[in-house]
Amino acid sequence: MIATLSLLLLAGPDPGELVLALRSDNAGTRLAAVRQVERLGADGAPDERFLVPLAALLRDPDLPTRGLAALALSRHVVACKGRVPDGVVVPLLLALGDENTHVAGYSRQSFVSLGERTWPQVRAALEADQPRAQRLAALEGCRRLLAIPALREPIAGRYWSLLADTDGGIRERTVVLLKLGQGEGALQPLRDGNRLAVLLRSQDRRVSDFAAGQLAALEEAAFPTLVGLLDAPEPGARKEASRLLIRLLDRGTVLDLERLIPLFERLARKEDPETDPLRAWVARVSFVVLKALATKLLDSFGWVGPEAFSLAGEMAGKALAALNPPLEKMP
Amino acid sequence: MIALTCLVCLPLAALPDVATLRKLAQSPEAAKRLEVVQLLLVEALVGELKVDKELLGDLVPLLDDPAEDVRKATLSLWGELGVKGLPPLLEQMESRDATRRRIAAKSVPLIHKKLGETDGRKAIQQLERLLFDPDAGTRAAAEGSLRALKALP
Repeated sequence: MIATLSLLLLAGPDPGELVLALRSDNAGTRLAAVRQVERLGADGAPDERFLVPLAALLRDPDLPTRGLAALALSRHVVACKGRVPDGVVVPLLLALGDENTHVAGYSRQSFVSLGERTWPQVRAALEADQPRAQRLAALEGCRRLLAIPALREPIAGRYWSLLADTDGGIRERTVVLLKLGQGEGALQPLRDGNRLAVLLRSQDRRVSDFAAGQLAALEEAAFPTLVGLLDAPEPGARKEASRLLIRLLDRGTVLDLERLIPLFERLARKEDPETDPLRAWVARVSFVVLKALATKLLDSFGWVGPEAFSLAGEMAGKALAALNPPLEKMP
Repeated sequence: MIALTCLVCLPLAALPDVATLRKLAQSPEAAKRLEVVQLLLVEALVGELKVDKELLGDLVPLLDDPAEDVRKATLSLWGELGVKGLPPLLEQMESRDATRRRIAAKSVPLIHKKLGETDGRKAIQQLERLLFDPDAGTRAAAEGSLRALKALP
């Protein structure tokens, strides 16, 4: 009898009853229950059954209840060895942005402890049909998960897709997170020219600016994409492509004449105010090249001096006009 | 140091009973509060102090006493108590009185180095709970102590 009583006392409160108390409608009952559950975790008796009800309390309006739930969750989360039960990850994601820094801190600890196993639910929380607050919280969760090398590629893929999201807030946050991820060395720049071309055509300035930065980082590899973008229907995309091409050409990055010819042809074919600066650049360079050729030709006939130089300029101007009339018109 | 200097003047007589000491500890007169702490410190230094939980609980507020010499003497006493000083602090951190909880929370870093791994963890766990105390002063004290102990998440 005494032995049974001792065993009961040692066994402590029934977890089933505690789970019910955690879900109680009564605020006092919830607080008392979360206190007990937190102590069980601190005393080295973590139990997976508490995870879902504790996670639900992360939205409790009462700070002591919410805070102790976050603390308790950080103590019990170690009991979860397999798949994370439904109803844990999303409340944790939302709690990462809690106004109380300690609630956010312990939630972050639990989230990091669950690690890679949260990814399926984080990915689902990012879907377009999910509530906006949840999607933004999931984006923050992605930032934490970038610490796990195995998740970097899938997260990067999700980020790039989200740049085309219909929600401007999501796009804006994604741009920031991509920059942060790249700055911290967790993410590599996107090297897919076609995908970047699509993003450069975005109506969202933040997205197109970011894509422009990524294209610029590709250096010569971006050249065909940029030439292709000169025919984009969006004036902004054409203008940006023109600017990036001038930058590339000015730095002498693209020297291969065979690759330059399609660009010259494109510029000769169509006049476009968005690409005028690039046309002017090409005209200027073409003139210099033609003049050098004419000078060399005259020199081979033994004709040198200021008069020959002036004639070479005249010849270059005519050659330019004959070769590419629209280029010749450029300043 | 002040406390130790004063000890020279104290007669090594038998310690008054616990009730008297508790009364002295709560006296409005700083000199009386100091006297009780010094008496206990002498006992602790000669290794004869029998720890009375309730008495030590009453001494916890003296760790934040307005009189500097009382504060310093109490701190010296806690230094001598070492691990034995933890239970009254833990108990005070659960007191119904917010002032006691706050003072106890504030005092943990002062003795934490003397605690072993298990007791140190217990003290930190209790501080973590106080981060969500209904009293803002207690929350701030717990946060300050956890920060000092580099134990914030």
